[in-house]
Amino acid sequence: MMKYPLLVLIAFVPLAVAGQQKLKLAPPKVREYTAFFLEKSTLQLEFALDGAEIWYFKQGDSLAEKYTRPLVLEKSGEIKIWTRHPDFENSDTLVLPFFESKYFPAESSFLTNPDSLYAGTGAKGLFDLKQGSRDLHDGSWSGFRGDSVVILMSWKKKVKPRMVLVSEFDSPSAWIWPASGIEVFGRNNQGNWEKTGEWKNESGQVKHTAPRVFQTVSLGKMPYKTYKILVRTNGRIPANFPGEGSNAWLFIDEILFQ
Amino acid sequence: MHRRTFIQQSAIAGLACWSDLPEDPLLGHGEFRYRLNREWCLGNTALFPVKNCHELAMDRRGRIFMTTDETKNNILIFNKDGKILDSWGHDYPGAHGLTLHDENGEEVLYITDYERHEVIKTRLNGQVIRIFGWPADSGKYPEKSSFKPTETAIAPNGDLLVADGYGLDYILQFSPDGVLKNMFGGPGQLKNAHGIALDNRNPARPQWLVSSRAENQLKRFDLNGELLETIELPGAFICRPVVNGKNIYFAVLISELPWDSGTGYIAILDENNRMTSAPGACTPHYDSEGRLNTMYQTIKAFRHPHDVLVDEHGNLLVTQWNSGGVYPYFLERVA
Repeated sequence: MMKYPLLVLIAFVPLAVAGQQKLKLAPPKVREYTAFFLEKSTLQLEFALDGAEIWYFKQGDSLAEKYTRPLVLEKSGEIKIWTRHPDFENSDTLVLPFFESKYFPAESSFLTNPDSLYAGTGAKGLFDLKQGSRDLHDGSWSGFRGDSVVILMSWKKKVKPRMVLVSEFDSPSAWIWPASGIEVFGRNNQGNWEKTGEWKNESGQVKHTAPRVFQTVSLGKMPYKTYKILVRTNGRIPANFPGEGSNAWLFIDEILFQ
Repeated sequence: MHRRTFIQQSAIAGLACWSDLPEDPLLGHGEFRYRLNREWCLGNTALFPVKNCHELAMDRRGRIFMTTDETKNNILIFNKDGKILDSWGHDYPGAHGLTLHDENGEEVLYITDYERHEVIKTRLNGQVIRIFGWPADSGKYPEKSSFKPTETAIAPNGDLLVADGYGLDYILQFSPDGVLKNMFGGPGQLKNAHGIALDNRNPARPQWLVSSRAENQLKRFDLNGELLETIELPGAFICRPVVNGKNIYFAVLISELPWDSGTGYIAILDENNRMTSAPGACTPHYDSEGRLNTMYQTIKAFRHPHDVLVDEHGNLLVTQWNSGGVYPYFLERVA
């Protein structure tokens, strides 16, 4: 006697659920945002769809809040933002990181020159707190295609940052891959380079979850006047990706000492 | 799930209550609102596979022709209900632009193929009539591979206009028998000249309407190729303009870079070339100086729309590039 009702339930539920499938919203439009700042950063969002709301969750807060006006950020951290509307499925959540910077080099130079098509504004452009847009020709990005990139920077007196952040672009369809490793060296009093920090993509796997990659490297406690950063490109593009077998591009728009 | 499918499946199961189903929300603004049907075509993708679906054209019998770069069937032919009637074409790896034109009573197709670097004129059954090759004698094209045509249009005198949207961004004007007569546009005036249409809304003054996709602009040229006007449409990477009645319709591939951002939508301009509706995007708004706000996707109804076909009732069919190999979507006009 129980077989029929059970079959009916099995047949009905998937149909009913599928029948109410909603279209999904896009995330909020980010009108003003810079990930890198000296004292504060302003986040301005927009979403012009009747009945829709923007929500955000700021790292360290206990509750999500409805967005009603531009937000001012004064500390490093991240904000999650998304949209809601009763007639649509919530949007994916965008995570926007914010990085405060305290150390600006007095001098900087490339020991590996970027490709002439993507030369940016030279090495100083990597320390100007200007975030590159999605237009790789906007002058903020430096593009490289060799095995590694080496950048030299120095301060007027010794500094002791706790970490370095390298901001990169990731777009495998455009043959652009994030770095596979980063090494940071400081020059000691004898003029020799000492490794003070290293990050390596041990697994070799790249998830391509977002077009921006902020890779941090923790540094040792020794202070230095001069630092050298070696960023390794991804090398050859692996199988089953656009450009398979060719050298991947590496794009950097900012390097931050914190 | 669309209602038609739901009814079909409900009939099989003998279950579910029709009135329990919510209406899909409408897309668009003002007089141009639509109900989206993502299952207009329920064709068998094993029999009729598609990769990138590029452009659409309808013949006088109401049959809808579509280009796809799937060489198992580069041209798919649908009826108005989304049933696949026929297919042909295995030699068009870069099948892209599609223009249907009545030439002395016979309807013919112009297919641009950016992989073959050619425009191919065919009968509706696929028989090749003429091939327009790369413009070797133009002085601008050093080699065949630099010519990557994306779109065509037919001039009032029967000349063929070709937009070299993936090549050097020139608009090339050929006589019907393939002689290059004129070139205009090019890198100084166009960037990604992806689409072209004859704008004959003012019959006394027909003009060319060309999309400069990477610049988010439509540009108007006179029939001699003189640039007349630039229409700024920020946030609109326009594939090709489609003139219908007093309006211009177009698919916006993306509203922001990168090219695979999946942020596309549809746009409709009024008789003054102001955006009046944008299904899938924010409300178009013009400031006091007449500048359109930067448009952006709000509803993920589409990923990368590539072309729009407007039927006699004002409904839309939309093809998509790089969107999971889906057949065209149907937008039923409800306002």
